[in-house]
Amino acid sequence: MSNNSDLDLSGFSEQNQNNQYVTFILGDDFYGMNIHSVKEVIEYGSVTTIPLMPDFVKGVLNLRGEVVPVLDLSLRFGKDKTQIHQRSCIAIIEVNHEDRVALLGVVVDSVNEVVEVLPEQIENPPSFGAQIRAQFIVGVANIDEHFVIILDSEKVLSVDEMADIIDHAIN
Amino acid sequence: MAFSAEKKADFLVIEITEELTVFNITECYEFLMANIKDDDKKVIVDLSNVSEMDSSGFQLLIWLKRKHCKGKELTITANEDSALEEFNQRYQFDLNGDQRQAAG
Amino acid sequence: MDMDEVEQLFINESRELLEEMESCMLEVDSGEALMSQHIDAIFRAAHTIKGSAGLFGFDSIVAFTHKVESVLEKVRSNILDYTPELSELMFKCHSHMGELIDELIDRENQIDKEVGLLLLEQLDFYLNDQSAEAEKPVKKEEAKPVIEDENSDQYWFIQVNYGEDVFRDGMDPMSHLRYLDMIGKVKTARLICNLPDEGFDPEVCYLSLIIAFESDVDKQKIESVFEFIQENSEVIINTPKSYIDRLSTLPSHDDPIGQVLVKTGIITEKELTSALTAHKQESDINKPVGSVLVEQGVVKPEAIEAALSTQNKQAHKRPQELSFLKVESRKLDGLISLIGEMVTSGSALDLEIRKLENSKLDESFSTMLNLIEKVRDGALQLRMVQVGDTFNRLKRIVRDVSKELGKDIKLSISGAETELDKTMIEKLSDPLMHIVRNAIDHGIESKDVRTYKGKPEEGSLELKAFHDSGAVVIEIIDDGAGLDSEKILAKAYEKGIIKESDSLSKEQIYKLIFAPGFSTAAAVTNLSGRGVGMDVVKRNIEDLKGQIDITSELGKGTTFRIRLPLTLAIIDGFNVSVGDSQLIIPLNLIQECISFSDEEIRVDRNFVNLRGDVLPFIELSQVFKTESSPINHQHLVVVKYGNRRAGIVVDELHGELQAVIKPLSEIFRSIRGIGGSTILGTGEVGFILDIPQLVDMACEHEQKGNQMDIEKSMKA
Repeated sequence: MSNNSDLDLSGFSEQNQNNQYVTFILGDDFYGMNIHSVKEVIEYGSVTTIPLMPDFVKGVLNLRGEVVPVLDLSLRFGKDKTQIHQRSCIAIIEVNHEDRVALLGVVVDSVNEVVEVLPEQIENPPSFGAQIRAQFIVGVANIDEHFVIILDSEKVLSVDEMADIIDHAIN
Repeated sequence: MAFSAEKKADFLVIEITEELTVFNITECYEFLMANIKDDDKKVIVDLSNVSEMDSSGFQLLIWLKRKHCKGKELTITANEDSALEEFNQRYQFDLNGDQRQAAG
Repeated sequence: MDMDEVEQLFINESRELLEEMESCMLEVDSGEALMSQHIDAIFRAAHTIKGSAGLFGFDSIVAFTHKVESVLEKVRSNILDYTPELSELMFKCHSHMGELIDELIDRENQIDKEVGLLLLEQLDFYLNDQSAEAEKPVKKEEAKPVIEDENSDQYWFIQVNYGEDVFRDGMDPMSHLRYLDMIGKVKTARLICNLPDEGFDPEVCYLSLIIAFESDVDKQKIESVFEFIQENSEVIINTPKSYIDRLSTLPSHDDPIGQVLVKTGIITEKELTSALTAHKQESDINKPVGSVLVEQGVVKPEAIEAALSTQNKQAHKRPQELSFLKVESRKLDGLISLIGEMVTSGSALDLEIRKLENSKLDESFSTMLNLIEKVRDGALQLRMVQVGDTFNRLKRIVRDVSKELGKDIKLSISGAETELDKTMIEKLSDPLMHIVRNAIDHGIESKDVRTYKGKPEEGSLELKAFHDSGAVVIEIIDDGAGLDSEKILAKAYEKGIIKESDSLSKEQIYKLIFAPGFSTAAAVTNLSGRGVGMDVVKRNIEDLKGQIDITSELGKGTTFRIRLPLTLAIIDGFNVSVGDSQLIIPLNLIQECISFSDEEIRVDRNFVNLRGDVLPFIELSQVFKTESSPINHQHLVVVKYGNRRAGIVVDELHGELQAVIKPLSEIFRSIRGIGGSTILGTGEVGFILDIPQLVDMACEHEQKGNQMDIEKSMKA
């Protein structure tokens, strides 16, 4: 396993994974993503910027020989730019695109823990107040006194949609 | 006389002597035309005493066999040391053999 | 190996055989080769497919191919003439065999059984048609002289059709046999006597001889036996196969084929002279002397082939047959990506070792880097394949499409041996096919129009491949109507692709046909109407990091020129930087690097004087809107591709490197000027510049600037 991986997720057995969620903090909010789609979490570092890219594209990262784009989720949600600090991390997310798995990195302020959330614990997202497009959200769960917004990674990080945004930004 | 024709019983026996070459081939041809009649059903051509022969002679014999004596019983005879023998050997052509081979 | 794998092998093998069969058939069809030269290969292909299909119990393939094979067998044994009709049928059968094999892969995809049945019926016609045999003019008795013999390899076959006057001239065939027996051994002699039914003349020679002769004299000697009868008789001498083997012992040389054949005693001077005379009279100057010799019956095709193979390789039209090793492409890709990793970690190690300043370590490591480079090149070479196969597939398209449209088209191909990465070749086949279809359909005019315009009735289509400064260029050239820029403009405007105010150069106008939604054909024929537009062609080429250009002259023709990088895996690059960005310029495009003083940029113009030539330049910091380091010394990298030259202004030069190309994520698909990324020795990510795109970008940039200037001045 890689030595710069902060969180090794390979130990979780298959059957448990469906209800396992990685939670992280971004700005003032708690978010969760199904452990299926999170490949690993690494320390923030050595992100190379790409010329002409819109702000939400932070650049690319060398992940053991793979060149992986790194995105600012906060900007994607229409919120403020994520400030980079000592505890900043990059979560490497796997999304499906045209029969293949694409790797994308997202910057987060910190990664909390992996928690089990049963389907019945996930409530429908509020129709307003979350300040995030409803289609990005699977639901909301109350975990340890915190509201955790469970994200639909395939929607949030849709390759086609992001390619379109970039296309508009540069052409 | 280089050519002779003689009736012996059922057979018409024709004897050619000395040579059968391009120099006397027309003479021989005319002799055969004149002496082999329609009612001669069995013909023997004896070449035992031919000492000189060429391919035109051999061709005449083929003609005799295939055309002029078609339907007749034609036998061509010669000694083993006659000129004909070499032709039989080298041309690998059996004048008395079956028509199929001769027809190619 | 499981069953699926074995089946896959069968499919692959059959496809290869079908390809070979097709290319042979095409050569025969176009008159490039004689059927007698290729029938064995064609027959063998059908035979092998039938055989292997039998092993797997693919009964439908066996049943169909069996019939095909039987007909081919008849052609092979000269019972059937390979008529144009039969050729057409064989092409159809070939396609059907291809469909039958494709069906194995996708069993859902049921093929039209009716087609097969119809073809079988037609094949039966050839198999049962005895009249075809009877009608064949039986020229005298000697028509087919060949005496088959187990050991025929060592025998000369001599056929003499004696002239009428042979006896009168005092000649005797018997003397020939006697003489032959003195210089060798007559194995068999067959006398043929074509006597007329009427009018037999005993002085006329009606004889022919077919002789199998064993001797190691040369052909000249044998010919001399028949010297005195040659004027009025016909003498055919076939050289034994063993003489052909002699050819293989000859050292490589540049002698013309005719001389080679004479030297080895396979043909005589006289035969050569007569063939050369005939060759000069041939309308088709491209026809090899060899095929004239074969046509004249003096030599067998095998002898020509063997003789050709002794000629030096440069003289070869066709690539020589090599022995091949089949390797799963997945394994090769794995190897290449490993070597990529090795190259990357090699450069990382290089950086560390340099810090140590240990000369011995430096030295041995640089030897190792050298080896790595060689291994890399070798591995990449494994994936290189010749474009010839792709071109051959186009031959069939040209043939079919031109037949369908009733156009005569002469296809010429050059550079079939040019090599390109296999993955690129695969993706290239569709765009090429489309361009070729278009050229025949819309480019080349109908016969009437051509005649009216004073052009040759036969249209010409050229496929060319060649190397040009580290890229492979493929050109498709037709001599058709050319592109009408006015029509294209009108159409583009009508379709809303451009605005009226746009002022475009000719080249830019031609490029409009690549715009989505643009389709030139007023009458969409069933050929071009395959649902693929030229925009897809352009996209495919760009996916391969290539460019496509069009030049055209109205009334004279159009040229499509595709430039492609040699490979998509690893390139030699030159590392430069602008601001924080590490950039790589493909090394083969770089002509020189010169230092560039800041004052020259300050002047408000975009070109410099390079030793008397005007060199336009691009400031990367401007194009990429990065902040250039505040230094007043910069560098100008002079790049050249095709016939374009430009300078690229960069902050720093870092030197050469081997860049393992990592494609950028799909989300960056609209990015321009950057073709990919790579990992530098430091672990940083560097971007590989797509120079042609960059130049295009700069041009557009400038045009916009100019327009703004014009607008400004108009407002003022």
